[in-house]
Amino acid sequence: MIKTSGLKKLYVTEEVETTALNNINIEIDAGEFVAIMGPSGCGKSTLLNVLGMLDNPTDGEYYFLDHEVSSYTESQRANLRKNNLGFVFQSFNLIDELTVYENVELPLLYQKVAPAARKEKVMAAMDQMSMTHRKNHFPQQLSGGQQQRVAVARAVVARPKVILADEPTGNLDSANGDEVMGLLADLNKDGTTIIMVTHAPQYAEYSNRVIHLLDGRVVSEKMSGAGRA
Amino acid sequence: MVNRGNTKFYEAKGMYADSTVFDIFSYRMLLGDPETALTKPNSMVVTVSFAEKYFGTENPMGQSLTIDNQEEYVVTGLLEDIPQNSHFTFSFLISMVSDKSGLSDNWARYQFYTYLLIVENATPEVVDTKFPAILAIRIGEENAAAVKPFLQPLTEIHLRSHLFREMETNADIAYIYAYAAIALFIILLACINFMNLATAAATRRTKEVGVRKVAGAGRRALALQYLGEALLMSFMSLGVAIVLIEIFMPAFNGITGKNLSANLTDGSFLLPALLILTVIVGIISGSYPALVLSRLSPIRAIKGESGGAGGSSLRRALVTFQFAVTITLMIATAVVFSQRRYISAKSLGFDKHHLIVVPLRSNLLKSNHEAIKIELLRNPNISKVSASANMPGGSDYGVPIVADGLPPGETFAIRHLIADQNFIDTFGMEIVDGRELSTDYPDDERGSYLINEEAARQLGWDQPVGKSISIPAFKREQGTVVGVVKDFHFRSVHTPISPVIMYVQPSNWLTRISIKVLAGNIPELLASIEKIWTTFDPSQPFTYSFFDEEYDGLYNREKKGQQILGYFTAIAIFIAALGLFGLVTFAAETRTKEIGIRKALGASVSSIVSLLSGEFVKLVLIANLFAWPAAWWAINRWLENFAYRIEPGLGTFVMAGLLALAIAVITVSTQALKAATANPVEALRYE
Ligand SMILES: Nc1ncnc2c1ncn2[C@@H]1O[C@H](COP(=O)(O)OP(=O)(O)O)[C@@H](O)[C@H]1O
Ligand SMILES: [Mg+2]
Repeated sequence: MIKTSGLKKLYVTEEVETTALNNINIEIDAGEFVAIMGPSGCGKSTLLNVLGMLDNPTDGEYYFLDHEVSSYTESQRANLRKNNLGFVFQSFNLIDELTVYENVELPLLYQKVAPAARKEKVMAAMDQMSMTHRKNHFPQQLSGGQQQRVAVARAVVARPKVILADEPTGNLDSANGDEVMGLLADLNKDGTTIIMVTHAPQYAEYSNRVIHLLDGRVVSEKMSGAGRA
Repeated sequence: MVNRGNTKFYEAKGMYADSTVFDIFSYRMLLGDPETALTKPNSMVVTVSFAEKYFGTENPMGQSLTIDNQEEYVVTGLLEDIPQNSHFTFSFLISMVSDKSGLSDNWARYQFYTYLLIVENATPEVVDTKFPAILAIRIGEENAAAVKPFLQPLTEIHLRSHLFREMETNADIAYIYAYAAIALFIILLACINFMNLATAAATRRTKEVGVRKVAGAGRRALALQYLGEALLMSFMSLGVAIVLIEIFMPAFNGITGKNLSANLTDGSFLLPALLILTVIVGIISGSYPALVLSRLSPIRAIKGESGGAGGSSLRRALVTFQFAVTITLMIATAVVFSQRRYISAKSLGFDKHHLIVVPLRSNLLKSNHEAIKIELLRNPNISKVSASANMPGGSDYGVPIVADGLPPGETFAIRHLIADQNFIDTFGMEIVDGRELSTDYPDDERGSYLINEEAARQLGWDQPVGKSISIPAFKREQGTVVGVVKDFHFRSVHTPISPVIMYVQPSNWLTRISIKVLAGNIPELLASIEKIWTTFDPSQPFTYSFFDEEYDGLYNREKKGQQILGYFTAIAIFIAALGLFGLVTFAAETRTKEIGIRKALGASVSSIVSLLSGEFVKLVLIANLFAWPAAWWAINRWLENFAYRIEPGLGTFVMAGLLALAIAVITVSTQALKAATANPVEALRYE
């Protein structure tokens, strides 16, 4: 489903040139749960952003569902993104001015889903995350764990093929972190491909494969947790 | 014409004046005695610049000058130049007793302007009641009944008086009110920009406010701080404004043909007024941000929360107001300019183009006008010529006529156009009934008249040709109407077409010859006309004018006023657009994160642009709801000034609305587009 070859990302600022990704060759199949680990600044977020088509690689090829997307225009990528991908961020990234319900509804608006179907899907996603009772609250009125559950609801509402999660538990205490990981594991069981960046080895256990990065390179790929079994 | 030996000039600004003129007006006499300067015949009082022209550095007192090659006058006084903004200006005065026309003692003729100084506690209304009795003694009961003299305060004349034959071209208080209103609105627009941007930027300062509050700053202290900042800004702007005025005043005077100066140091009201205005502007623009910011609770402020939705709804109202003002001005400008186009395209009833007017300045020229006309017509580039005493757009003789069908003893008010038999032809006017005056009918010299359609209408004549008319004031006995001229605009199109009578008078009445020329080499043509003039009277310097320029002069002041309105509108649009630009830049900045999230979730560039601009576009649309009625009211008030006017249609309003919308959309979407095309990763990276 996902395949990269010779992927490279350079950040050029006035003072320095940073090679955030260097010759990344990975392959991820549908239904996998992949964890990406590595020290801070090694390029995990950059890789996830490139895989999520939020950013273009500097060099190399990236095949998403057999599309070579590295040369796609912004609007072509936006199209692929909204139909196939869901995002969960460390800092939740909910829109403060919108209610829980409206935040979850957002991806469906951009997919131009009809209002009736939209309502049904939003309610289902919120139900799945147990957030229905908070649907008229604003993000600021929720705890961190609740906000991340809303973010997960938003990521799954359009039933994406892939969910990309960048340190989804990074801002949560362990109880809330466990709960969010449980939700992701359940989604994976239902067939959603999950690619997650994490620092915590115990959460990497939820995945079936761990990719270790160091200075923008893949240093090891190991089966783990579910994968080893 | 005034001359001293070979130094000769035409002087347009000489007047007869009573010896008492210096009792009433506060002219400063440098040399001579105000009491006696104008008591003797053939004495004159001159201004400094006039004296310099003729006498250079010599002492002008006791020197003599010749006027119109006839009388000699002795200089008996020297005045400081009359300031430009005086009620009237002149370069020399001649003693009234020098006037030989006898008009100065004729109470039935109104050749002179009379100024009275009334005693301290008299009211003009009471003085007015005394006039009829005095007049009755002077000109007889019957004649006195026809005139109603009244006093008007000198200080009111320049701005409020619109009588026929004012001493000088007056201004109109309405224009001054209009400019003041527009200037006020422009200041308001700028204040709104400040308020909006200050409150918007204030949301960025909320952390600062929180920290200050935690550190113990009270509400008052904070409010005063923000108010102080606004006042400082306002005073700095005043400094910049003074410099800008210095720079732009000459250009402004060039456009307006005025001679304004902004002298701040002469102790007039200007400086205090400006200071007060500056303080008011500072307070208006500073008070709202001060209020909003100082009200924030410290906890919420530290967390970086803004003033909340309340602040932004006021911001929306202010933007709406700005655009309402801008749209109103745009509609007004559009209407003013289309009215102007309508007027200039309107058929005047005569052809003002290709006419050169040359004055007949001496009796020699006047008596030879027929011979001059014949000489002129020899030139193949000259098609028609006509000598006349006056012409459309100029002055005329305000004497009433006696006409068939009027009750005995009653007269009819009418404008007089005194010209030779070729006038109709030369000015391309049209005869709708009867015939034009002609040299083929010797009677036309004394006893034939043309009237216009309006005169026939007002006199109630179905068959005007053959009706009889007499003009007792000019000692013209019973004559006959021989033709009717199609209505034409004797005056500007502000006034409805008035009744006009045309007839021939003896050659000493004539003042000019109008020459219809074919397109060609104008300088060459003028040279040959000049040659003819100087052969007939070499003593007169040759001058000429183009009739269309002179006639269009009727609208010069208006035209300038409209130009200024155009500039004001442009400034208003610019300021409103600037404010909008600031707001949308700010909105895009505060919403970067939101934009990033939306893009990650699949929002297209156009949906982001419309998200950011949509709100502002809505405001501009709402602004139309306020602007249209306001503009409708204002333009109808203005159009009432015209006897012939356009009916502004819905189209003008829609166009102005669309233009404002286009300006808003362009302003907003440049910024919105920048935000929308930015890489979403950038927005999501920071926390
Ligand atoms: N927009 C950017 N401009 C310049 N350098 C960047 C940018 N984004 C990331 N980097 C640099 O690229 C490297 C990888 O960053 P990132 O992918 O965020 O690391 P992490 O593994 O901690 O998520 C870091 O050295 C970071 O400083
Ligand atoms: Mg990271």
